[in-house]
Amino acid sequence: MPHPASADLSGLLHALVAAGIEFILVGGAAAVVHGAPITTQDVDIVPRSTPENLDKLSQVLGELDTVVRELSNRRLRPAREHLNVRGQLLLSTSLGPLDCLMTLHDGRGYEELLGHTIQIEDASLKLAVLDLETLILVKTAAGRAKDRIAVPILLALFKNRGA
Amino acid sequence: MQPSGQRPNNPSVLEFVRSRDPLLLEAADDVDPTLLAWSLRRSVLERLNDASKLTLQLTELRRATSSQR
Repeated sequence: MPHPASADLSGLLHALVAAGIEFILVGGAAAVVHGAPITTQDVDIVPRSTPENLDKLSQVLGELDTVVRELSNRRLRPAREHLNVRGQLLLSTSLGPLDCLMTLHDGRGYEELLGHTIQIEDASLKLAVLDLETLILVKTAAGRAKDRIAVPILLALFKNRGA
Repeated sequence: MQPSGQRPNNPSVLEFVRSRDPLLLEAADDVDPTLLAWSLRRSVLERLNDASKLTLQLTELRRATSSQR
């Protein structure tokens, strides 16, 4: 069965959290969590790069029938060692697209970003989410078209919060 | 379910955006405050589900539109 083109955001996040994976939610889904009324097709995470955490992540990726997202659609399955890279792994899962960013475009990984997160908690979900200020800085610096659409909305939230 | 541990606004964020593209700051002033207020009243889980459903609808609409061409 083909994977969905857009992510089940809460489904994917619940699957990662239930497996005990340590990660920081970044990108469009983080913007949504902050209250931005936008759409996003994927979940972007920065996982903690300890061997134990990457083992758990690799296990969940297997359970979600994960393959590498690529134009030729060869259905390459990400191996455990692929998670050791410092770059970005763009994946397709049974719950939609998942991007594992071992580092952001500016080179920062989990440990460097952890001080720039907020905690979201409820009975079923406990998330570390990139804070609004850092999300605005990262998206502004990235400057892609989709970032330029989201940044004004994030700025409006930022100003609203300070009001 | 609401974010915790938020810090006061940091003016350097606005300065950084202004240095990159002042139009982004102008566009922020045009964001509908009613829409923002509505979104902020939703729980985080509702926001995630809203975004997923809307993205799915847009994806299907795009697919249907392209198949008609």
